[in-house]
Amino acid sequence: MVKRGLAVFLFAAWLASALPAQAQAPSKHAGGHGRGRPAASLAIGAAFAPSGELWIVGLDAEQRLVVQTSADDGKRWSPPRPLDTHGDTPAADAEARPKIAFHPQGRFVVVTYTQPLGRPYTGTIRMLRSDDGGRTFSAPFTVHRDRQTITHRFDAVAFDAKGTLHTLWVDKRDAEASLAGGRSDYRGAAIYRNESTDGGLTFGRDLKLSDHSCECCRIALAPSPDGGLVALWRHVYAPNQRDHAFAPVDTTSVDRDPVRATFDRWALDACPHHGPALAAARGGGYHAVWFGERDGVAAVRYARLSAAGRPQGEPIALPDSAAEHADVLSAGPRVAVVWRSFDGQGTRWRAWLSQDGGLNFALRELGRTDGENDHPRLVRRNQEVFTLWRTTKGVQVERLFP
Amino acid sequence: MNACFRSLAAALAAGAALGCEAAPLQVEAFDAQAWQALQASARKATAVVFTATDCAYCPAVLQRLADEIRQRKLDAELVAVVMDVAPGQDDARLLDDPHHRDVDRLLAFSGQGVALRHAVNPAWRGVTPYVVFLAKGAAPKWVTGPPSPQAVNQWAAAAR
Repeated sequence: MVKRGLAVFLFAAWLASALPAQAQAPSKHAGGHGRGRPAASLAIGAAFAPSGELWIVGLDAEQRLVVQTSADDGKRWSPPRPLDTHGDTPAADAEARPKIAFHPQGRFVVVTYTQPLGRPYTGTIRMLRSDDGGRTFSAPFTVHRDRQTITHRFDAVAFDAKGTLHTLWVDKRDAEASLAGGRSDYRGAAIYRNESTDGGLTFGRDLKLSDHSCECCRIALAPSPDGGLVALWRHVYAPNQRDHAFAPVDTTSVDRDPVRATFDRWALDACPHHGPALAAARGGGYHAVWFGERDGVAAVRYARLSAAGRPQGEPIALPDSAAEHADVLSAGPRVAVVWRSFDGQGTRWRAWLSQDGGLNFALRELGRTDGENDHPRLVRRNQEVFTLWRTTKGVQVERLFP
Repeated sequence: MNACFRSLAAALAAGAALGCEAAPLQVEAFDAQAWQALQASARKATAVVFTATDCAYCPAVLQRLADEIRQRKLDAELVAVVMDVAPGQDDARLLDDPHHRDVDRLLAFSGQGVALRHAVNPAWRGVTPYVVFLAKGAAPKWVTGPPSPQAVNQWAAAAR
């Protein structure tokens, strides 16, 4: 029995090693039970240009990176305009979405995405830039200096009020270095970032914002009162509590631990795939929404954070036990929270709206679909707040405020 | 020499080297009917691990369950279901992933992810790894994250 097994192994090993590595991969068209259709990559990024035009970026049905614009707040869209990714295949699923950001004066526009690499769990953050208001875009380039084939994923990008471009991402260089050094106790990944003061033409060095982030959740950014940015991300607190951490996106963060913004104490050695959202609040502080399990109850919760990122009062669960992937945005005293939830038959697009800075909220039904759909997004133009939702039927836009 | 033959050769080599069943040769669709079919067709104890390509915790769970099956000589099947890549989208990469080589079947979500998750368990919120232990005549047991030794022992008892 053993000899026969050894003979089979030796023959098969010879057979396999005689072929080029890539030739061993089965054909995409190999038979199988019930071939599935390609995934609908519906994840989009959206932003208003300083001109007031609404832009979205995502993948089309042919998996091309495209931008579209609307001059009437989403009633009509321009034809999709493909951007040349030079062979990249951007991630556009769930929390990994292409993003678009405008310089405050509108000259510079950047599009970012995560490009998965050949090894599992690896990726690189890519960017296309425009210095003519989005009429033309550069070829994609890698944003970070670290070029190892490791995790650089879940990019977040924004210009601050002064026009500095900030790019943040989840990075595993420290976890990998720890492993290479014979240690296996590094928790999670890290948040790295860099800055560009010329609209993405050149970048400063990679800077670490924090160790021990979650490996698989998006990073939230919001403007701070001083014209900069703050970030909120899912963190792995010792030994394995997946709460959220808050930090300014500036050089003052280098030698400081991030502030713990949530205390769900969700102990979990797993990936939630569910990052937070953050918005500046009138009068200081922030509005935050996040998903977590607290005292055994899984929910998306809302809370106010102080200007330093500390929780203010008890968090409130959204009025929907199936809520997921919520976004939050504010304009003056008005606060909007949007999310989706599946009720067993279809997915609902819902909003929770406050006129008094988050003291009281009212539920509003926005839409429903039986098909695949993206996470809802919020965008703001001055004091106007809109929400977008991409389904297989297109991108819907609803005005929430005023 | 066709692709199927080459894959078979590679799988045979890997399987024989590890002393386990051959690696999956194809990515099957996990669609709206798949979960019921998987439960109904499970002739032996089955561990289903829902995973994702960016789930850093999933490989260890797959490896551990494969080791348990091998070391305890269980009459059991290990199934991986990838949630963020559809069948036909990147099969070669999924099949080449070393973390999938010890599984008996490899499936991938085909269709609306949130509906598929709901079909498996309405309480599941998409966290991975998500493990479902199936055993003939017993209710499914769902585990979020790495299963405890006790959960594995209970399932293994049904697989002897």
